[in-house]
Amino acid sequence: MAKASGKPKKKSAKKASKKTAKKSTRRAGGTSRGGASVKASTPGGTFKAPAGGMKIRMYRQGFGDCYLIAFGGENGAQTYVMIDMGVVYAAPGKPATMKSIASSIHAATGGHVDVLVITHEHYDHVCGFKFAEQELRRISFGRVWLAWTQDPKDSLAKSLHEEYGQQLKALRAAAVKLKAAADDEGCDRLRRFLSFDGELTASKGLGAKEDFSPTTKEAMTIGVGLAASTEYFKPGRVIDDVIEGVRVYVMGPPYSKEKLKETEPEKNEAYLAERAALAGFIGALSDGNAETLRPIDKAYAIDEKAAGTHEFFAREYFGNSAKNADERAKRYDWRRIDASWLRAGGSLALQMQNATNNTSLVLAFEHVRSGKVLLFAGDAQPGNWRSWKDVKFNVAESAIDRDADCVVTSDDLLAATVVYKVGHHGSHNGTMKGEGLEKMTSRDLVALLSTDKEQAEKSGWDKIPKPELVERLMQRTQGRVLSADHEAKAPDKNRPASQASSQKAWKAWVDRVSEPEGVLCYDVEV
Amino acid sequence: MPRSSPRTKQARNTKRRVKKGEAPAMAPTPSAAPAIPDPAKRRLRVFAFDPSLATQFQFAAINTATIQIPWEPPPSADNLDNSAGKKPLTLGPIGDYVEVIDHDPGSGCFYEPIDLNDPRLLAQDGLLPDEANPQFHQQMCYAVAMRVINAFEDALGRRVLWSPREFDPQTRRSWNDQFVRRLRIYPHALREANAFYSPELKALLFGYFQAGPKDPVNLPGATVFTCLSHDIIAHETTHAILDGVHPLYLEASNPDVRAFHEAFADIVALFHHFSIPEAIEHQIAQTRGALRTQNLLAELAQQFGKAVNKRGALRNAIGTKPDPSALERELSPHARGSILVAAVFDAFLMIYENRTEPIVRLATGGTGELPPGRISELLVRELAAQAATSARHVLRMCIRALDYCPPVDLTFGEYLRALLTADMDAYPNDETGYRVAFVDAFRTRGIYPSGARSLMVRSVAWQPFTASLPGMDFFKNGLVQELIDDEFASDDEREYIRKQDKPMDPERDFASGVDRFMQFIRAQTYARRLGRHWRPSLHDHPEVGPLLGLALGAGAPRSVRRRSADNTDEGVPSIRIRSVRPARRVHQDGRTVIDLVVEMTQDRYCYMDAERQRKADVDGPERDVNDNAIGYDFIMRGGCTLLIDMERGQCRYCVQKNILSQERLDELRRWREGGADVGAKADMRIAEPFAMLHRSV
Ligand SMILES: [Zn+2]
Ligand SMILES: [Zn+2]
Repeated sequence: MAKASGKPKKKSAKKASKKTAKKSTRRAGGTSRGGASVKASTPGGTFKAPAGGMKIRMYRQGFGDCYLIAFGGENGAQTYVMIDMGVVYAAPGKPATMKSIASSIHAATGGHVDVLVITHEHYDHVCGFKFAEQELRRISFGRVWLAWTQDPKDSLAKSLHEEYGQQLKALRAAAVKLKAAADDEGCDRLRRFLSFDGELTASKGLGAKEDFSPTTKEAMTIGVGLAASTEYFKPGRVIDDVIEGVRVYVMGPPYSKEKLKETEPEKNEAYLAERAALAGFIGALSDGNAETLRPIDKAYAIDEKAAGTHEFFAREYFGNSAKNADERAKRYDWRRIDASWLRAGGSLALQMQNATNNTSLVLAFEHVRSGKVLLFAGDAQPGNWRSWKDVKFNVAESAIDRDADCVVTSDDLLAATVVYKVGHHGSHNGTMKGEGLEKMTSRDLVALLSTDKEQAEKSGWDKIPKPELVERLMQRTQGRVLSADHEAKAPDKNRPASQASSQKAWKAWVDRVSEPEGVLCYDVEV
Repeated sequence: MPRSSPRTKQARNTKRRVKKGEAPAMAPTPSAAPAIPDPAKRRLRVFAFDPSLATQFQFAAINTATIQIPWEPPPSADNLDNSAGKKPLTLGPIGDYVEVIDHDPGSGCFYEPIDLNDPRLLAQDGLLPDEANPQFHQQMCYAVAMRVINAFEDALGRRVLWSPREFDPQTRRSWNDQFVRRLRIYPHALREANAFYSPELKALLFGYFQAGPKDPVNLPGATVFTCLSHDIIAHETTHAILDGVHPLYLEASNPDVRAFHEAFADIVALFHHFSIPEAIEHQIAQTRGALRTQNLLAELAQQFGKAVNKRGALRNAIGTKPDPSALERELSPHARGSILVAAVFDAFLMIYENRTEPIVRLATGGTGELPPGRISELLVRELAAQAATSARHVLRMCIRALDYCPPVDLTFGEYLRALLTADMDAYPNDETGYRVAFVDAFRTRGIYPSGARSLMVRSVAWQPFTASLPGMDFFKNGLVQELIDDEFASDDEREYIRKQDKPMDPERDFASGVDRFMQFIRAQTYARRLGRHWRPSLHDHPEVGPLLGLALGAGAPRSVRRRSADNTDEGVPSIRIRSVRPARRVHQDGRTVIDLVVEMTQDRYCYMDAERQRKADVDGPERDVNDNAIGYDFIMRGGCTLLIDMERGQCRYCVQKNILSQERLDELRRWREGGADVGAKADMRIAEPFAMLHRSV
């Protein structure tokens, strides 16, 4: 483990030192702008934080993440950090939306983004890189930050990817087989579940529904390639030389296969066992390896082909005695189970989704002067959340270090958090309660919820966002929750009767939020 | 419990058939030697619980057992005839009730079917329990399923019928109910840690999977077969049987319905443990008779449970301290169901302890305090016998209750009421205090019947139906002439009626020797007759509607669906006669008599919005060009289960769920809005609702 973690650390440190925060001043004016996007003119206009301040833009493309943060230096110079760019497969008009966001980012930053953070490899976080590739290529990106799980040189990451690839192969095979067995319902369900990975739709034998659908991997590769320099992070790192006046704490993902597999708030062992239980399913579908996972010695088996002429099975299962296809369908076919087992793919898909969510790069941005923290949790799930408490950050001196022992803990960071990007779009396992939300005690807390109920339902997640969580977020933030949902609105000038905050506090909040013209987003001053 | 013996009936029936037999050439050649009687039972070896016991030293001795199931004869010239009352057992095994078809699609193969009539297997009670031999898997599935079926037939006094196929899954259109003779069993259908009864396929699908790396009883990576778990087979078979009695319990119109399905399946599996004498004696000795302490008999599916969650048996509310508020919290079918299982098990423990207390006192010179150490073998045997008897009685009570449950929308409280009423009908006197034990146990777990005035058994049980209903003569004398004159009757029916002196005689029509297909057809015929000749008289007396939970007459709210499938009730709400079946009980004079159970249901178009509801009540729902109702939010079902005394032409009990009840409607709205998050919207049928573990898709 130590061996594996040493290399990238050294490398990224070297690279980080090459570029300094000062570089961002170069683009402070925001002048250069590609001439191509005349039609969209300047969607959203320029986007700047006040000197020594912070401003966050949350794009509202639907169920998916795309954030732009401007950090204002003491002399007004801007450092731009962009986090993710995607939306779920089920969202309408993806290419157009993504292109307009890219143009907006171009206009907002003047064509230079200092840091691009890609939290994890999921469609709703990366598909924009493919859809808006052209537009994005006109922007210069300083560097890309990724989790260690994306590091091609990391052996643990490599084994995770291999495992994942095999599972994906199995799922795709399952979907194709379901289709072949005319179980359209089963196939569609699997497909919907798998929409987090656009790859499936493009698979042969499924009949692509859309002309153009990037695979998640392809989009990820484009995103990673946008900047010349790529850095991979493990928890415990503090990056204090890239953004002026800001320390960035890397909280997750944990460097542990076990932890990454903790995807549910409780009963984790059960889920681990469930995972093991699907080994036979994956084995049978991924590489024709069914032989080794055969439950029963081959000597007892009658090959499927041979069974067609086996007297017993021909009569009882295949219904060969039926006079015609119609009679066979009516009397025999309806009870066949050739494809039933493939539906277990749904459980596997969910496990895979959760496991990838857990690889989210979780960053906390500490604004040194004010001691305010922005927490971007990606789609982190319980294993990621739970690992934070074991991470210790050595920092010379910090306002948020409550016991002043020069060690900042996750509790310190949570207590100082004033903006929380809600984990996994508000799902039941995306925000830990006692170990998370309840520790965010700042009275200024704001929550950004990148969700869209309709698109979630279309994707097969009828409990995202979880109502109880939204309710609790509303309480803890005194109503300061911004949602990407297409039905959501910016906070009303008049304080809602249900809000406990004072009229004055409410007005202050309303004044901090603006909706720039030309692109769907919220700008929030911090 | 006095009950007419199935075998004598069977014999009589066979004789009659032989007499008119058209194929005398096929009759066995007469011989001077006295005829050898068929065996009553077939003995087959199975795993007593599941294969994992073999690896646990303390249980190794009770790893396997031999169970007895009703004899299904080998194929012969006599029983291949389709009208035969007794179907043969052939390769597969395929018998009258189940067919084992061993297709393993995940491995791309089939496994050769076993022939249980092979003389070598007959002579040694089937194959030896063997995890590696798929033919043993087939044998075990068949044996356990048949034993569960047998327990139901014993308790209900009629033959088990599977739920008919009434829904074409391809077109989503309903068709006339189709008889399904056999439940299909696929021992190796899935590659996952799961097993389920599929209402759509009328089949049990069992999975196999690899044990996890930290499994306490299974070798890591070893294959665990759910089809070798006695409990899982019993559980899934029970789902299928319950679906046959109450097909509408697929509809989760309140949190209890699906939970009941799970609980009931668990209860049957659980009490089956007590029919394996070796296992009880072993566990009685180990616990020194204290079944309250943790023991194998009170655990479900332990190998599977340990493989999937490491905490022992799959579901174990048993032995937990009763928490009356748990019922409010737990909405998921398995968790909620386990509360009901625990309540029933508590009742069982009370009954068992009540029965054994004097025995323990006798064995201890009156102190009731057992000396430390092992208890005597004699005492073990006596306590084991008491445990077995108590379990048999409790299981029988639980099963018999089914006939006293409403046709839709069951709640736990109603189940308790049904259970007590059924027991009062079977054992008019409750000297042993069983019923009190049940009320007490349910109360401690927070299960109260909502309508009861007090917790006295008499008032918790359903109140006898004393009102008189129109047209009841129909049941008494059977309407011979009306039926023959019936213009809708088919020639077959008319022919059948002419031949009978009494067209409706459940004792004859549903006798255990009658082929199950004939029973199915007769039940349908009964239902059609009630529909044609009795239903109209109900509509003529709308005032009895509230008693029956039905909306009657042309003046009923228009939101209640009109136009029955046979289109005979223009203008009045349609009433579907869902089920007609016989139920046996003990008459006051000690005879066993047969009640007719009649279930009727209605559908009502409902709306979340009260104003729209009011409008539909007056004008009916919106309709599209094809005159199909559209725009409503959901369908509410209502209706009743009637127990009718055929001799007196009197309805004895009416268990109703009123179709017009505002309270029910409000309840349903709340449930759909909030709690129904288990994919269980009221009229929505989810894919494979009975999986051991909830599947994600
Ligand atoms: Zn996401
Ligand atoms: Zn079940």
